[in-house]
Amino acid sequence: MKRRDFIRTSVGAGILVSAYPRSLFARLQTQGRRGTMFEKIWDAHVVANLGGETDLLQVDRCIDGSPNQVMRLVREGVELQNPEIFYNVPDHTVSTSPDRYTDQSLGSGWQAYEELADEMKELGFTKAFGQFDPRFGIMHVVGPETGLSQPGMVLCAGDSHTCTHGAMGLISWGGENSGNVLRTGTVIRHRPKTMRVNIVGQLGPGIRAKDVILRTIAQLGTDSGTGYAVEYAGPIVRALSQEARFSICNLAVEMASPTGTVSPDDTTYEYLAGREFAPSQRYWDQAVAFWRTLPTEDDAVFDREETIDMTGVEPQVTWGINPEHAIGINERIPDPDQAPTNKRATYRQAIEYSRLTPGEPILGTPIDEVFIGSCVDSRISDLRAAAAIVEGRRVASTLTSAWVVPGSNAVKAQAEAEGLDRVFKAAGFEWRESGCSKCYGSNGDYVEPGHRCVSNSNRNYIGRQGRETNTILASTTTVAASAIAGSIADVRTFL
Amino acid sequence: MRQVLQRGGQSFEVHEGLAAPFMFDNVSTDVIAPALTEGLDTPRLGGGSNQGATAFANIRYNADGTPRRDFVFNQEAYRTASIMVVGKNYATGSSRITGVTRPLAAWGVRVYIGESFGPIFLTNALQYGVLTIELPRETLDEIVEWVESHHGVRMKVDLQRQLIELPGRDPIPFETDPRVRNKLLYGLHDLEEIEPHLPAARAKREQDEQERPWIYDSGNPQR
Repeated sequence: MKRRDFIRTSVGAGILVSAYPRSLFARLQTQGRRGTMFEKIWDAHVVANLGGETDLLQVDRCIDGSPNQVMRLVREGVELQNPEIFYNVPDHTVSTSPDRYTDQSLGSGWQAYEELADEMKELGFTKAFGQFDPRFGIMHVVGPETGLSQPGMVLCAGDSHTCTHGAMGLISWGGENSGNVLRTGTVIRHRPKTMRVNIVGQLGPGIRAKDVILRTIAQLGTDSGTGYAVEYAGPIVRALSQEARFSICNLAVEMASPTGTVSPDDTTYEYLAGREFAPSQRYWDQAVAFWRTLPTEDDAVFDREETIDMTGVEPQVTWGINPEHAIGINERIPDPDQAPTNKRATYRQAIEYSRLTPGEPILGTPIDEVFIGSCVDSRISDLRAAAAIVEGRRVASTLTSAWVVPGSNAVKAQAEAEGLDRVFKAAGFEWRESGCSKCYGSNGDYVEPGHRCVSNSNRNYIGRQGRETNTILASTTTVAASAIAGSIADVRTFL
Repeated sequence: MRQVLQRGGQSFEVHEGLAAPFMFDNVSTDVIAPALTEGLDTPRLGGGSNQGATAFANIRYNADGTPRRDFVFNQEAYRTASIMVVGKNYATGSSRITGVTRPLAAWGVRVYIGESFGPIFLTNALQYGVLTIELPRETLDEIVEWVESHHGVRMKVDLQRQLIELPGRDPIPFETDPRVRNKLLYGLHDLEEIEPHLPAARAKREQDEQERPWIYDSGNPQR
């Protein structure tokens, strides 16, 4: 078959499958799993079935890190779709140094960003938040914070932590090419299976959402979400604040699911009300009525159900080289020889890389740096919790670096209004500008070679925060406590 | 290699080459394509501006920049391999196009055979005409055993017939999503697949603007 013939055939097949028996197909395919929020949102966005389980979906929001794609396509004379669904934040390319606004050498290409963004705005792509914009920040903090991410949407971006937005009761994923969305307003996507993770039990003192999700990944495995869209549910998730729900969904991709969600409820709608890009008064009641139809039904059927019991779970820290290497703060470094056979190779590599001794306690392990920031846990409630730990205390003199990087310019302004910056600075922390920073070791913000860093971010892979660095993932308050102790610490002794 | 690095429009029918085993689980794109490669003397490593020189940098070189002997592509038998046999959840983590293109540029990897792949890697690989094959662990172990006892012997991956041919033993069948297979065989770009549906997409959008007006009114200063 010639290439052109294939295209023609696939068009024909598309019409057959999508226009005529599609509704029947859809019913058959989804009969066993109807009633999940994920399926409701997905089905409402299908433009056409492209064969098998692959659909063409309408996109409601798309995030980009630079105006380059838009301007390149404009210069090629391409007609672009719906500028209002795009927003643009250069979070991966800025330095978080306080000197970044004046020092041209910091970051990579923000001057070019500002020039191109001006041009782009004139074309109707008005939501471009450069580092000078009060709405600038980490894209996964900015979206919800400005009201751009709303329940019921399909939202996509290039960045893998786009799963964060799912906590708003929408479906989202990273790895998409914004160029295609700009041209067509759609994405091609293979329909995943659905998994519900029920978080039950009682949270002990000092346990935060980050501990819940680290525990979940440790129990299920860092590849457990492969092929699934995950919904986090159960009484603990229901009781979490909206900001804490972002921390949970942020790490969905660390269990290999590109999509993490929470069904929306009043917590979600109250969080959204009054934000700049939230539905205006004119449409608010109509929007809320629509959102109330979205949550997963009581009798919904998932392809897979898992339960995580948080009763008795201690603060979690990672010892190894991927996020499933999380243990309780009073547990000991695992012995690769005792590990399940299929994990031994990775455990040995992890022990060698992390320079830790099997059988030793993780508590008290000396550290060189701490980092508070990232799209996981850098919102105002996180900074308040960290400040409460460090207030009146001092960062250990053995640390070479202790940074606080607010999730957005708005978070930074709010924290300063509350005096949190003074608390951090008095304790010996460096109070930085917003951006992705040391989470992925970029733009001059990285952990020094050979250093061990306790970090509230989401990845501890080899070389993630810099060359030959060891990352200990933990909750924001565990990071704060460890900064004071100068070693991996139990936050409960600081409460 | 430049030709291979072009995005889209790359067709894939048959690939014949040497394979290298890399049987770790959960290898992240942070490892495959590290964001921070400062301090690496890439011109001395034969890289220059070639990003291929920084593929796997953190496990490929010693601190002094010399190649680590335990890294698979530094071993003589695998230096020119173009097929990687990998473990579970390969290339998990960040969506880095460089996770596909750096090994492509460095070694010309055209096929990954693994137990499973990271959530975003499959999409990225497809964009560059790179084939990913999923097989159960037992089959992978058999392939690795064959590779380790057949240094210098090329294997053949035939997408048309969906077979991996290993000289001296029965071919191993594999399955691919029919849509993905056709896309690779004919080198189709996403846009070519979407184009016939654009009128439907526009009609759906117009209807949506009526049904969910708040999505489109956001940020309107006049509201």
